[in-house]
Amino acid sequence: MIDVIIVGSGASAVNAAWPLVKAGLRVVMLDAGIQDRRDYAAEIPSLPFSEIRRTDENQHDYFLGRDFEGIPFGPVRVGAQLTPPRQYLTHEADNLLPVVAKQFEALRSFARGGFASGWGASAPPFTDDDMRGWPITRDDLQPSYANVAERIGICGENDPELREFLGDDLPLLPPAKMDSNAAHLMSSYRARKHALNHRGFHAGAARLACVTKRHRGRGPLAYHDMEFWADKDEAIYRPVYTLRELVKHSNFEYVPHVVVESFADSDTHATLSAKRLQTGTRESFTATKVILSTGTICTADIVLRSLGNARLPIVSNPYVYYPCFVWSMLGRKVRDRRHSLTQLAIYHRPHDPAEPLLQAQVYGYRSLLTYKLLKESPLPHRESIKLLQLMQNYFVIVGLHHQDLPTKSKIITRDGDRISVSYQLSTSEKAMQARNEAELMRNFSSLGCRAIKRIDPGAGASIHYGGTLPMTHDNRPFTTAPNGRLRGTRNIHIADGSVFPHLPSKGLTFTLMANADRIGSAMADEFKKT
Amino acid sequence: MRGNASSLAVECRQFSRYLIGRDPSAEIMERYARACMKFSDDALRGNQRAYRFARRHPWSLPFLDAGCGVADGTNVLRRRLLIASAILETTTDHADVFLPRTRPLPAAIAITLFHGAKAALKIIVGVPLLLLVKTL
Ligand SMILES: Cc1cc2nc3c(=O)[nH]c(=O)nc-3n(C[C@H](O)[C@H](O)[C@H](O)COP(=O)(O)OP(=O)(O)OC[C@H]3O[C@@H](n4cnc5c(N)ncnc54)[C@H](O)[C@@H]3O)c2cc1C
Repeated sequence: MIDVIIVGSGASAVNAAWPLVKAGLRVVMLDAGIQDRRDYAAEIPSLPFSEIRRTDENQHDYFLGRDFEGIPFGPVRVGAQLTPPRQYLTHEADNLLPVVAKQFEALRSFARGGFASGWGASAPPFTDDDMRGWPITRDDLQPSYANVAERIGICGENDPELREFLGDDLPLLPPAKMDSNAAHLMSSYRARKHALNHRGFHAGAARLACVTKRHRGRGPLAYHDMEFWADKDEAIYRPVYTLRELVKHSNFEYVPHVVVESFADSDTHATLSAKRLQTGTRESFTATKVILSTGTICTADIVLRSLGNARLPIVSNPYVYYPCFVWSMLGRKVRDRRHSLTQLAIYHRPHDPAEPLLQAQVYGYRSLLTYKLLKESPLPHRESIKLLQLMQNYFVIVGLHHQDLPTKSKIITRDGDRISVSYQLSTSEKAMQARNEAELMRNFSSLGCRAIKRIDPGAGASIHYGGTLPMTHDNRPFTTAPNGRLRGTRNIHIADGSVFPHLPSKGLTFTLMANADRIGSAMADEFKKT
Repeated sequence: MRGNASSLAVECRQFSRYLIGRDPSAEIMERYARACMKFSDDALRGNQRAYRFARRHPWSLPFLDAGCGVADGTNVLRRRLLIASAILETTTDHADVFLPRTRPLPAAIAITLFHGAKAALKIIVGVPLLLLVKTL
């Protein structure tokens, strides 16, 4: 019999699989595994953005998409960074798992590698403060953070100033070079550090899942500013790289094009009912243990189909962007070679100590192209083009993730054949967010830049989901034990965002991977014992 | 409504001259026509008056674009101009017009003031013109 079936091939799944495969267990990975049929990636040259723009006659194909799917007309919505080469990440989701959601973007990925095939790679670890109320601590996660950091490559600094926000105990690759705006903001920050720190505002190099020097056959980061479009240097971590290493093991098998619908659990094993995507035929798979890592929303669907319907909590970091103009850089030369992801991380302790930490990331904009900014400009197009040509070098985007706690107004359930999500922030949550955001942005502006507008892409737009089957010590239905076991089952474990009781104001994915590694490692130990 | 390819090519030339002061290549015109046909059933539906007026009276295009920018940002005319801009931007021929450029501070300020003033004038004329065209 198979020892462990892991469902999914995303960031969570491959990192849950790793310790099990290394322990010599027979592991099968079942995955919907949709790939980019259009294969845009093959067309994109391995050149810096500005050179591609000047020399590649075919650039319209992947920048706009062959069906012009890269030209947006409406307001800025969820997944604005999902460029045509990344749009396959959500293909077939509406057919495979329809969702009705009131005022909430519930994105699902059935792609090989899941959402992390297009993520922004911002990878801050959680601290005990971030995990307040959880049944596990940073110490419990620490060995897995270290394992994953080594496996995927994390760059950054163990900066003593940011210790309270990040810890200082992970193996890190050298930090990525900041672009000119971020370097300027950072030096402005250093000049006012004392006053800003006093107001709870701290800044530093971003922690990125990115290899700045050659690491496990990947990288180094080429600074081509093409990270939203392609992975030519393989510097930004994608789960398929771990999958590529896993399939080299004879005790591991990857089975794509299979959609798992439900499970049945017994004393000794678990059985999954699944459908082959290509033929529609139904099949069952049995193993001693199963780990579901299909992403919070898909996992909720499988669990509710299997154990019966219920109203589960759901959380998702409320996300807002501020396009900002770094006026104090105007007229200065900027470096052409850069990367497109987070340049600078900001941590803000609100004035009221009872309120949670707020974290923001500063990005450059250039490689997402000018025409998307034209859509946001109220000026005539001709003048907008002239002004943007002059000012674009000095634009940065500040993205803020607010903490999210479960409440009675944030619910996911099954409704007929669909998943239904209803999500509403309370007035007091909104007021707290507005207050903390205003404090952070006021401090940020004092570095010499001005916010142009506030863009709220809507609830769910962070694509950070969790909280549906929270880890807890209480033995309640639709919760998980700290080892990931789903309560009411013996052999079904969950390793993805579902088990996070709430989401602090940080990217969750590094912790998803570490927690999956922790759950996989504990399961491997259990197998050894028995 | 599907514009036929040749009238869309003419439209592309008009828009390109307005947007970047250059004529588009045949390939760009063909691409523009293809994109408009692709979007004709959804994104390019809606009130066509400003767009039709600007096509018939090319002098009015900058003003109507400016008027729509402040008073009706999702107008079909703005959407067609967005398509044209996206297509022009993603070509090697016109990359130089869109790629960011650094200027010394005094030049940057002068350029900003000049184009800012031009935009303001166009808006002053464009908003009432748009209202008028919409009532025609
Ligand atoms: C544009 C973008 C930028 C982001 N940036 C960041 C960032 O900077 N930092 C950060 O922390 N997070 C970021 N995220 C979020 C991050 O990508 C996700 O948190 C993470 O990828 C979730 O991983 P997962 O493995 O838990 O689930 P998913 O990525 O959703 O993977 C689910 C997997 O399960 C499979 N699957 C689903 N249902 C089934 C089924 N029924 N049967 C079989 N297989 C199934 C899918 O094929 C897929 O392989 C970003 C996301 C996006 C889209």
